[in-house]
Amino acid sequence: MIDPAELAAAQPDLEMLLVEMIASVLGEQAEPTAEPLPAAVGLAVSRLVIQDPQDGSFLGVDVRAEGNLITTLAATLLGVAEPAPDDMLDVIAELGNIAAGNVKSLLCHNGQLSLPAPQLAFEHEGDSPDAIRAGASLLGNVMELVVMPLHSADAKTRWPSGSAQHSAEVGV
Amino acid sequence: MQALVVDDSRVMRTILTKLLTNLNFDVVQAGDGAEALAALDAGARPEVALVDWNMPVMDGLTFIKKVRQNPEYRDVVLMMVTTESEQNNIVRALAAGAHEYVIKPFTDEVIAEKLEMLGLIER
Amino acid sequence: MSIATTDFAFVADLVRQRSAIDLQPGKEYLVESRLVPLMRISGESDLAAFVSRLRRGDQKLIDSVIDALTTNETLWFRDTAPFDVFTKQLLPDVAKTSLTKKITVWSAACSSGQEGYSLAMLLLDWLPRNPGFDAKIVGTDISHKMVERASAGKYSQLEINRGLRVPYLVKYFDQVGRDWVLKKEVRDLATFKWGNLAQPPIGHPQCDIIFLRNVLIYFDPPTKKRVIENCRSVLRPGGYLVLGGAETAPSLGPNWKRVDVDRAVVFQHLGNGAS
Ligand SMILES: C[S@@+](CC[C@H](N)C(=O)[O-])C[C@H]1O[C@@H](n2cnc3c(N)ncnc32)[C@H](O)[C@@H]1O
Repeated sequence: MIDPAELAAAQPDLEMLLVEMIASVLGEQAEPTAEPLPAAVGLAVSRLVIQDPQDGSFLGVDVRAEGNLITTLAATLLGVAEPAPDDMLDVIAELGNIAAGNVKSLLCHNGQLSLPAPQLAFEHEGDSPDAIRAGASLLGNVMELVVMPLHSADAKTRWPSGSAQHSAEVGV
Repeated sequence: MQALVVDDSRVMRTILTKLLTNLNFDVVQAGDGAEALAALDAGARPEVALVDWNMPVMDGLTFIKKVRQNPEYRDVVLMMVTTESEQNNIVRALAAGAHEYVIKPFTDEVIAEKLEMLGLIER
Repeated sequence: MSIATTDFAFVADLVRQRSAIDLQPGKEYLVESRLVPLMRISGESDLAAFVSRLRRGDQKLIDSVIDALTTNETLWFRDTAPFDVFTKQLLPDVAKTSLTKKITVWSAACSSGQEGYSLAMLLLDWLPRNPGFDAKIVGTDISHKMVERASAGKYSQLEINRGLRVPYLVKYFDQVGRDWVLKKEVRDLATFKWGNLAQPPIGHPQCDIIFLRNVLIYFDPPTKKRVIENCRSVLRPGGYLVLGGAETAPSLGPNWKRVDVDRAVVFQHLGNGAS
């Protein structure tokens, strides 16, 4: 189980990671911000889970952004005029994937990364008190990266082929 | 010159394809290791394959091992492009037969610099 | 935010005096974009006030201006070819004629150290195959900040992605969080210190090979000449000077023989007596 103090201390690194990722994948200059995501707007959310091989505990990694922003980004990245929900899901999923891989190096060495579970949502319920958040603003919108200890992984979590978790699932 | 892009993310495949097309590669795409093997079996002969690690159906590490086992594919240069960034995983990928390794996120010039280093392009 | 003509002239003069970097009129945008962040940090709200602090000789601020106006873009094994030539040709050749059996390589304008450490890693491959030899890398730069970064030998993941051959990454680095730190054996081969290429390299050791790349472009022609001459003064006869590929190689004079190999721009120092 990750030490809460270690998690809290990683906040500046998470912020830097988010800004770097935005610059590299999206080609946009972002600034760290403490501003939260606006309430009650369409959101795109990606959740990945990292499992610690030592004690089996889980770390959740979310990337969330306003739906509008993801629509704009999907249009540029995929070169489509009117991005469909699937396009938006693909964009947020890959952002989540990149963020989580880096979070793993930072906080959960030798952990196993799940595949991303992206979704479009209208609101999210708010985070547990031990969640650590980094935010960045770009194009007048907010994107956030939230890392939190989890008691269990969602039963629907998909694991990559080749992982022990996947083998257990398919009963190899 | 042909390049094979193996990634389950359509966004990443699109980004890499655009970048490689600008460097004058013909790009073949695959959504996981199994699709990529099928493309090779169907006769694709890329000079280089850019391979993600975590994918459904067949992961990148398994794909690389399978490619290395087949002498017909000996000349394909294998480059991992993945968010897996831990040193021991990089070591595992090299041991399995990867030639190069790029950690996501990367900036545009990174791929070109690596391809130049591998002698695949001149700039 | 725009800079007054007289202030631009003052900054350009200051930078020329301290670093020999040539900022012609027309580079106002560059000066503005790099000074505005410094101005903010220093607590000033306009460039005129900021420049007047420079005029009053605020040394720390002047150093930070020099730092900010240098372009530090660099990467591992930049351009590939010079590094291949280094191992295949230059090293064996200088080793053959070395009297001291100690090879000294200068990474002139080393920026954050990637060039010097790339050479160090190649030397670590070469030394065990050539018993009896010893080697060292000396890196210099005019930016204090870059010298500090090079000495630290610690790189971000983004920097590691750029040009580093991955077998070297796993062999010579330790991962610390998302950063990568060079192992002691590599850092021990290299030392970095402050130095201005436009000034005579007093106290600099005699060198077998000098890498002088992607820096001459910032100088005017007389300064280029002076810099090359400064390099020559510490390069032993028979030694090599490697220039950047993008630089139009200046005519270096009679003491040099151009010996380009592959796509690397290389000159051999023939000794002072040559005509
Ligand atoms: C673009 S970097 C080149 C780094 C490396 N040699 C390479 O090729 O990748 C240029 C470097 O030259 C340094 N520089 C500029 N003027 C200088 C001077 N007069 N003396 C020493 N270094 C200088 C800058 O601080 C900067 O780090």
